[in-house]
Amino acid sequence: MDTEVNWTKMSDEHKNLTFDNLLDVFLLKHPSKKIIDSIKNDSTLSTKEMILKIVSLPEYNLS
Amino acid sequence: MSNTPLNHIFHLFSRLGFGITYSEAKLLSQKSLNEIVSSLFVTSISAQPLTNIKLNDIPLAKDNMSGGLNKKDLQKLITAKSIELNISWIKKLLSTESVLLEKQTLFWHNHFACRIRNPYLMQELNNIHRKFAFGSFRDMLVEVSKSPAMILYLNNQQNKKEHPNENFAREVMELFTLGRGNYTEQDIKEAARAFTGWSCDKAQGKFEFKAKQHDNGTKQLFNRNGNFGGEDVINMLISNKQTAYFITKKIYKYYVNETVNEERVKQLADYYYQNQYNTGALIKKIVSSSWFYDAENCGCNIKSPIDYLIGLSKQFSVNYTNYKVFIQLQRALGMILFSPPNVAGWPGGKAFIDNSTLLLRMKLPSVILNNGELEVPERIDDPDDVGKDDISINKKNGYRS
Repeated sequence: MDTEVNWTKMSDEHKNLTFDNLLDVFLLKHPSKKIIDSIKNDSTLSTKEMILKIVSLPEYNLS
Repeated sequence: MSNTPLNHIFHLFSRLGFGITYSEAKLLSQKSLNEIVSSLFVTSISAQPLTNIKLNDIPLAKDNMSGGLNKKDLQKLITAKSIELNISWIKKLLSTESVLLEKQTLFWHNHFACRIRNPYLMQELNNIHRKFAFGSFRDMLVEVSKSPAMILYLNNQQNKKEHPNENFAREVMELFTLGRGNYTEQDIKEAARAFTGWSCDKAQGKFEFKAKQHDNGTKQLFNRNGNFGGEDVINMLISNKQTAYFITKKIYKYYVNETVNEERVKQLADYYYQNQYNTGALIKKIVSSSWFYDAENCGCNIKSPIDYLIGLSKQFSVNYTNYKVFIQLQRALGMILFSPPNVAGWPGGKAFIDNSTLLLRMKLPSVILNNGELEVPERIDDPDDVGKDDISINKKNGYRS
C-alpha cells in the first residue's frame, strides 16, 4: 500500500521495553486481562507481531 | 527520579498532539509538567500557514467563458487542487513539531466547518484558524465572518438590504457562538440586516463591504436598538457569557472528556470570559489542572480518523510513497479534511465508529505496517467530496476500493 516502515528503528525503539511498557506506549486504556494475557503469553510472537496485535485492538482507537 | 509520570506524558501528547514514542516520553519525564506544557506552546506559538494553493491557480468562471478552460476541465482542476490542499495539510500534520498548533487548527476547522469548491479560499480560511488558534476568539470570529470562503458558503454575498439572507446570521449564533436555544428568530432577522453588504471580491480573494447593499436602518436585537453593523453583532455575541460557555464546553469535550463535568466547564468558561476569550490561556489552564490527568479522563475519547491516521503514521515513522492513499483512507474512515459533511461539522465521538469503520481501523495497522492490500468498502458520501475522484488512483496502486 505504498508505505514503508523503518522496522529497524522500531525494533531499536522497543527492544528494551517490557510488555507492560508496550501497552502503556500504545494504549491509554488497557483491554481485559484475558486479552492482555493471550498476547503476553503467546511465545510464538515476535516483538513486531506483538506490537501489531496491540495496535489492532479496539482500545488503540481511544485517546 | 522522574518529575513527570510517563502515563501523564502519554495522555498529554495523545490529547495535545498525535502521540509520542517511548524514548521521547522517557526523555521528557525528567522535566516538570509545567516545562513540558510550556514547550508544547512554545513550539506552536508562530502560525505556519498553508501556502501550496495560489490565488490564480483557479481561474474564475467568467474567465473560462472567455477562452479558458471548459466547465469539465475546470472541475477537474478544482478537484486536483483540492486533493493537493488536503495532502499539503496531511504532510504538515505528519512532519511538524508544532503539534498543538495543528491540533487546535483541527478544532477550529471543525468548529467553523466550511466547504466550497475553491481550494484557495479554503486554504485561506484554514490560515485564519492557524493565525488565531491560541489568540482571541473574538478577533478570529471577525476574520472568519469576513473570509470569502465563509461568506460564499453561507450565502452572505446574497444578503442585501432589499432581500436579507439569514443563513450566516443563523449559523453565527447557532454554531459559532451561542448555541441553539439562546437567541430568538427576531434576533436572527435583525442580525441578518446588520450583516447586509458583507461580501467578497472573488478575483482578489478578499472581503468587500458593499455599502449600497447595507441596511442602515435601526435594528433591534438582544433587547438593544441601534444602527448596528456586523461587528456590532459580533461584539454583542462575545459580550454574552453564553458564548464563552458554548466554546469552552466544546473545547473541554475535545481535550478532556466527551462526558462533560458541568461545574468544571462553568468555572473554565468564567476564566475564558475574564481572559477576553484567550484560547491559549484556556487550554493551558485545562492541561495544567490535576483533574486533566485523572483516570476517568484518560483513554475515554474516541480518536477522530485524522488523529488515528496521523498518530499511527507518526508512531511507526511510516513513509508514504504515494500520499493520495491518505485521501482514500480519510474517506473510508469518514473524515476528509476540507470536506465536512455540513455546516455543523463532524459530530465526532461515537459517530466516527460503525461496523465498517471499526473493522477497518482494526485491520489498518497490519496493512499499513506490512505494505499490504486492503479492500475498502465504498461509503456513500456527498458526490462532490475530494475522495470520489481518487478511486482509480488507488486501484492503480494496488489499493482497491
